Amino acid sequence: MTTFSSYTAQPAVRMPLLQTGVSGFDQILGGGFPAHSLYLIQGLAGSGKTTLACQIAFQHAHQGKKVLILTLIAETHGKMLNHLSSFSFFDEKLVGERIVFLGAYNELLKGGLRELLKSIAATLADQRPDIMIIDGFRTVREAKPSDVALSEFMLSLNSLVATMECTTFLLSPTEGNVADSENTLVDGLIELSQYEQGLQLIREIKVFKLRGSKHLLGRHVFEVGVDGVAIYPRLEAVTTVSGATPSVSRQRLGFGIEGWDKLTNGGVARGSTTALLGNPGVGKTLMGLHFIYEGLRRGENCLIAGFYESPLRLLEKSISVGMDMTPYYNSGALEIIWHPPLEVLVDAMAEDMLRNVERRGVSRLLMDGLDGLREIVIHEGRSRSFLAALVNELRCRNVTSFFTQELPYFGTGPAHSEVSASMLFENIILLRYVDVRGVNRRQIGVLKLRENSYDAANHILLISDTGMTIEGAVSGSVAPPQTL
Amino acid sequence: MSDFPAIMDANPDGKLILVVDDEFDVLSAYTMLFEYRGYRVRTAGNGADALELAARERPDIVVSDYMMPVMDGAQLCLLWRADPALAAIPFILASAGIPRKDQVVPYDTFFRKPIRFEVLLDEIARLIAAKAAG
Repeated sequence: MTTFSSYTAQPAVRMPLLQTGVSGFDQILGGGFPAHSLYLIQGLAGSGKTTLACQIAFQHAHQGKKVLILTLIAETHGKMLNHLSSFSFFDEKLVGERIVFLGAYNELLKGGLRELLKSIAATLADQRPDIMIIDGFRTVREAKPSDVALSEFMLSLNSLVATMECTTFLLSPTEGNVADSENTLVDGLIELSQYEQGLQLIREIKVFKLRGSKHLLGRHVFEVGVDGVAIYPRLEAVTTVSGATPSVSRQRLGFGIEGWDKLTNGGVARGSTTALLGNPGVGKTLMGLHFIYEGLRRGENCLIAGFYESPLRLLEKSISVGMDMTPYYNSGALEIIWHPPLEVLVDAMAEDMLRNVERRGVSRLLMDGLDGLREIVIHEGRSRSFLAALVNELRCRNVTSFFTQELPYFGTGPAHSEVSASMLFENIILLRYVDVRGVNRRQIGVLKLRENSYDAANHILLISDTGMTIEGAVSGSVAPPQTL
Repeated sequence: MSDFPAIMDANPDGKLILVVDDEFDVLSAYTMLFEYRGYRVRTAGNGADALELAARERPDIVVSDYMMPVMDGAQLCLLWRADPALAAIPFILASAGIPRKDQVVPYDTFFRKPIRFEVLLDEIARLIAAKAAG
């Protein structure tokens, strides 16, 4: 006789996670797919589902795992291999040995769902794959089984792959989270979609459900390139889930502009975020370059991200005002990320920036052109939340960041959107042209400087071939600009 | 004439496994996999149905779930051992949950679910061979 007592100490087996190895995918899945489960990846033709699934397959086959690709009515194995061969993850040596392609449509044709299921069971028992992909899964519904028969099939398939410890992906050219058994009786439902934004094609991925995992909600953009699928988790979702809070520092960071550092009692707080608002040509980028150059001189690693001025042009500009950044650029202490604001995915750029910050231990960042950033935030109303997430991520990495924002040529103050966005910045500086006795001059003033006292007077700013200098207060006034 | 329809066995000479589980999909998956491995399979949805089936046709081994309606796996196991005609037939009990600590159940092997199928297959073969060896 045996009692249960000897077994109660055994902990329940936690389901391992199957990491996909697809850039960004594991992050939105909450670490990966809970293994030995059944997943539906859906998306209309050309959405990238076969590429995504096969990318996971090759990744695991490279690690010695066995993968079975079963096809119903889908493209032929030869065509599929031909298409896959253009991706860098493709390895011909793995095909046949660790990645086995089998057709299963004949079983469905001969004996319906029951015969298909038996065939899958036999194949799983024979091949013992770690991963199975069933392409063309929509064919199962097109065989017109009754709703009950389809539900029984889905349940049995789910149980079968769990018993055989085989993580399984069903690929179907469908969309939407409808109450069909293919959607409800799987452990996870992923949808790939694409739409046109103007003339640009945008691809997005959404995890409708993923049992046993804390996945990122909502849609995330992705690209299909030579390395396959690369997903860029929506920054706001990443920031919300991480819940990281930035540290507070009392250390001040100067700009290397003597008058300015005096006016701000040593500069801005380390890890803070500064917005510099100004008319076109007033010297915003130049002030940002001062901020970066001072960091480089002090041995810090710095990063410039911008949309309008190429790295070469920025370096030339720095030389023209006596701050030659070329040696720092050549040594790698300075890197410049430059994207004209055309078909750039904002989450891809943010990821690029944040990875650069982490990889190089960047302490100062110049983001030159907030308006360019807003232009590439595709979804209306998202720019503020995106910016809030980006600023938070930078603060959490203790990066002191400096954003420039263009004001209109004509008009007296910043637009409403700039004012509301200003809540995100600890420090706000206003640079503008003023008419002093019939002469246009540059005026600089601090609108806000957190955790530090500052000279609130507006000052005249001069730009020469040795950079910026600050003159005395304009007419002794200490009032903030009336235009705000 | 029998009240029960004749069952067409995929493996007429195979050993007979009685699988007892209240989940349809588990019965379906095990049936296909055991049959593929050369066994004959009968299924029951609870302990009471399992006893009824076993009275008609003696299995070579039982693989039973623990938590089931009508009669659970522990009760089935106790009644199984109490029946002289069935007592010697190997009994595997499996559960996803934590069984009661105070319960004494006369199974041969207990598995916590999920069970690796190969492990279950090996244990079935071992228990059937042990019984045959007497």
